[in-house]
Amino acid sequence: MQLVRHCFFLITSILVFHVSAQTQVYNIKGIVEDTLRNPQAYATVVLLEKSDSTLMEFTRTELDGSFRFKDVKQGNHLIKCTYVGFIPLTVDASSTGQDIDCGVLKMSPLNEQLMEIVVKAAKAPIKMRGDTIEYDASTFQVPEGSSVEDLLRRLPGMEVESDGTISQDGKNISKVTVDGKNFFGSDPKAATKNLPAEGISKVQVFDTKSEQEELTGATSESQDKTMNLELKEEFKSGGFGKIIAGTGTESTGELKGNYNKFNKKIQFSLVGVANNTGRNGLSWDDYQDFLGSQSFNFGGGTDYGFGGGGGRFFVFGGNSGIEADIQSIFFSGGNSGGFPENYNGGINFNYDHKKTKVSSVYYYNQVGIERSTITNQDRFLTDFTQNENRDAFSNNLSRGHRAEVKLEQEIDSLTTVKVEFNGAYIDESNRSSGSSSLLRNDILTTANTYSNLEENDGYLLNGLILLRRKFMKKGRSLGLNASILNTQLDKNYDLNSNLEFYDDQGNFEDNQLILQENLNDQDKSVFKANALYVEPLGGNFFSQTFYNHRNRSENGDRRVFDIVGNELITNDFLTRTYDNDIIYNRIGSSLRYSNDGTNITAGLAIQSFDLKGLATIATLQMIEPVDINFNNWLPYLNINFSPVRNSYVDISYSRDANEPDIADLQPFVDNINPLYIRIGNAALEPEIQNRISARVSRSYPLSGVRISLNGNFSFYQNKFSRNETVDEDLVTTVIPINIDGGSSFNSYFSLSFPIIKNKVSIRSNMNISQNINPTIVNDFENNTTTFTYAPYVRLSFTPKKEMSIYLSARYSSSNTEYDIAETQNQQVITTNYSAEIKSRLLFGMYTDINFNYENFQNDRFNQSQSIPILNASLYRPIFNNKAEVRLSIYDAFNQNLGFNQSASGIGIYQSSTISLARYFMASVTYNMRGVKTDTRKNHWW
Amino acid sequence: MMNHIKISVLGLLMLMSISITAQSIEGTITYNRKTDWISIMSKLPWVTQEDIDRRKLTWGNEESKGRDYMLSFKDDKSVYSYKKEEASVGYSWKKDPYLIIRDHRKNSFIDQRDFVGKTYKIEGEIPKTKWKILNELKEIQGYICMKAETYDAVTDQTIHAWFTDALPFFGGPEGYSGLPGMILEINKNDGDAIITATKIDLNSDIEKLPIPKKIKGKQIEQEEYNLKITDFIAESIEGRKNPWWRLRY
Repeated sequence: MQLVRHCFFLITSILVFHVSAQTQVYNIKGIVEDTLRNPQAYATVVLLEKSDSTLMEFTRTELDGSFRFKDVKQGNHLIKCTYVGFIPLTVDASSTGQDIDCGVLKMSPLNEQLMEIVVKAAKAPIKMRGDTIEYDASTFQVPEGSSVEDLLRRLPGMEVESDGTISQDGKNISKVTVDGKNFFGSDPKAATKNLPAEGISKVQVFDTKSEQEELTGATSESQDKTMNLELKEEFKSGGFGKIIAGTGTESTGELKGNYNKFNKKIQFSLVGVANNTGRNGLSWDDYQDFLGSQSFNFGGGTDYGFGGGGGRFFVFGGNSGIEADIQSIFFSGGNSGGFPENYNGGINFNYDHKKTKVSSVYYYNQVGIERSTITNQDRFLTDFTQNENRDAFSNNLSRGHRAEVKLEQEIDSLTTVKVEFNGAYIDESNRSSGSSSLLRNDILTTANTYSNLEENDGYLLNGLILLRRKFMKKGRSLGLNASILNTQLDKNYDLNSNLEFYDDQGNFEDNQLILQENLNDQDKSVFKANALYVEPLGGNFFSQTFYNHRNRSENGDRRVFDIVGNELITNDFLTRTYDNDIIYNRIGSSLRYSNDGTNITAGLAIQSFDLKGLATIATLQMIEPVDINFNNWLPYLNINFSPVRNSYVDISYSRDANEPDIADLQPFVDNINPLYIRIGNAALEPEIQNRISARVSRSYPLSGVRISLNGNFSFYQNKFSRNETVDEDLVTTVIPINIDGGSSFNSYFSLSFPIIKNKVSIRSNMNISQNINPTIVNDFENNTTTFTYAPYVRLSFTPKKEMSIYLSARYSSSNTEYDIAETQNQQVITTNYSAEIKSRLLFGMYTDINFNYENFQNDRFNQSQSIPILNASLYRPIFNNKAEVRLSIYDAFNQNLGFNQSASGIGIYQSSTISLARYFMASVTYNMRGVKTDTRKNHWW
Repeated sequence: MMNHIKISVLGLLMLMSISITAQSIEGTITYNRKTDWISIMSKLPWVTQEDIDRRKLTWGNEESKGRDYMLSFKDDKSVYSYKKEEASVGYSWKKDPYLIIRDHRKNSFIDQRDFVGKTYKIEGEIPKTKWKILNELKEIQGYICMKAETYDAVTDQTIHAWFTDALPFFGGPEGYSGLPGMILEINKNDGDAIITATKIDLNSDIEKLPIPKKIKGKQIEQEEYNLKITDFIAESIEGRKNPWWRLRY
């Protein structure tokens, strides 16, 4: 051991000695002067490795301009002097051991023009290559639409003759290259005259030979120069598109295409889809490809309130029918059973440049669907059960045209104005026929056969103007906006039905034939104005004040005619008009404390509703007009903070007041449906909803564990409810009422963690909710309590690049209990298992297999319905991954069925719709940007 | 006349630089840090050209305001951290701990850094950065800067620094140092992250650098910390997660 240590010592000493013997050192000195032979004091001198310019040491010159580096290891070195306003000077200072005296180093001043115009005014970096200097041209301001030639005229040292000949510092530029490639047969004029200046990022001018010189080290004075124009990244490319066409058995077909072209300023896109498979096929990717920079309109919520505080959040849709926006229409058309036939398409144009943003979009959608549905509904009453069976066939066609134009202009750095217009036109027709029967304790009481035709059309016009203003005082801001919305709908339907009544033994008694024409005009206009003002109060406090005004006018005109023979006779009983005016005002203020991840907001608002309603019926009998005013105080509290790293807690309380429907306030009897009579209630008051919510989340980023828990609880005062009376003939009479009580509780827990990092992971969640709904049925107060729990677990296996497997299971149990009919308490269970395999196979082929098993159970109907669906496809990229061929089978077991079940109020509902089942499809995809052959599911981070 | 003015301006400049050089400088510099997420994501191996185009299309025109940091320096020592936020309308979010202290005289450093949600304290001798000096000049906040380049093997980033010899402090933002003047801009991987000086204040007298008395964090050696980062990047990329969501780029 001792010996080893000795040997080691000996070897190291030899090595050290050897190295130090080899490392000879030398000194370098010199004097730096300017061109007028004045010594250059305080110039920076750096010692560099010659091979790669690595910095070894640096120093500054003395007052007499001298500098010195001591004990420099021998080798190849450079000395470089720099001084403000002078061209950096580099000299060789290599040595094998002898000291080097660089002598007098003369620095020449940087071309003044270059310094002032390029470096200082245009803030462009300049790059020195020997004697030539290049700089970034993109920072030079030229008017829009200028050519490269116009740009060159502005660059120092560059001269452009009237015939387009270019020279720099007196030397002719004989060749122009673009991105290093020859352009238009190397005629420099063609390139400079035709290319737009705004597409250029860099202008480089160098001696035509200089590249070669750099290799050989030879220097020679060249009279000819080459100019290289580098294109900006965003002008180089930007455009993609794809088309998918498929044809299958059962007369199925799919066609989908999109195309997109964009640069920094302009985005243009087209999308089109046609299919009869019910798979709309438009994904989030397609949505982004279509709307581009307008995909996510943050801050779209213009109805200011307590939250937000100018923060950015994304509001999606929310409206339906004619008021549905393009975003929600884009994603609609998913499979809802039946036999669909869909056509969608649109065109979008965005212009986005500096202070101006313009976007315009048009979207057309057409949905056709044939459905044949069997429905079964039970209602539980104190002393009997009502059962309704319906067998319905419908053929629905709806078409919509929607267009939007938005303009946003930044007026100055503090003020932005935005104007938006949108319009829509829809027309729909729905032909339905079928039969239904009502049973009381299993004895037939009423039967109905019908054949109706409904035709609607209408338009919408909407305009919005918005102003955002910031102030010199940081944090102070103002938002103002106003909008007008107008819609007009014509809804016409022809009713043709035969009602048959039976006695309590189930014997036919009587029948009623209804042959009617209904003409409905519904107009609505909404004016909104909102204001928000945020004022910093110093420290970490802010005040936020908002005001909302809304005036909604609705009027309608319904004319009903009985068809007798060939004549139309006004049905005085059902013909009526209404004219409603709802004015809503809310003003509120809040105080916010925001600091280091903690935000506390407390506020109070007062809200008022002014409801005015006027209704007449054809008999010219005026219904007593509604004229009510409600005022409500609404407090608000929100606290969020992170107690420890990677955690987040949010707690809030809010109160909302919802106004009653004017139709519910009008005290008249609505017996359009003779089996379901509604009576208004003039004493209705606004419903007050109190909401408490909490959210806690924690993540352990290194191990990949995430936990979150959300819960919210709402309780009501004056909750809207119904007083229902069902008489012996199964005629239901409904009166809207306010009732105290009722609550809803909803909670969501989720946990995800990896089992084997990057290979196996688990995501699980659990949803628990309880709703208590009070109603009055046949004079008894009934609380319907629905308790739902739904655990979910998903396992992801991503063992290797070529394959991934995803397994999931969901169980959802919903227990409904009725105060008045405990025997009717029931449990509805839905179970879902799914497996997905994505894998690479042999011969460049891939497969996607998707199996989904769904089971519906309901102890009331004593039924269990299982729907196993297997979809599989086999595909292979072709033509250098530009295209793909695919063979698919959908619903291999031929089991598809649109199935629905729910329990609510005092009833339970179940329906099944015959739907497109097994079919094979062959499809081809062409993608300009290459098809994706991925065996993983996308995820967002 | 014009020439006279120029000469006197030049003279004044020289005088200024002399007076600057004569004593060690002190003051504060505000830096703005911007990250180009599209460009960062574009480099992840599983991202396709179509994905990149889609992100450019959707988010390419979004302008980020970046985040402000402040470098305070005095007596060859510097502290670099978040700049205290002025009143802003938005909600406040908790920031990851980040404190970079350099003592160029003693050649020592103390860093408080986040690593994937955990705070570490790293101390030691300032490692020597292998800088290449390039032949480029540009102006930042009135100072003519030269360009230098280095490669960070831990994060696989090419770093460009713009430094000015008119400010004789041999440090800069994010702990970068070793150039013959103050670094006024750091550019990582051609614009993926740019940290640039937006305000230079040499007049404010700094009584004491804002160094907290106690710097929390788990003590770790620089090499060990670097290893954690390299491992995390490799592991995230294998699991198809963007490592930079969790790491400072």
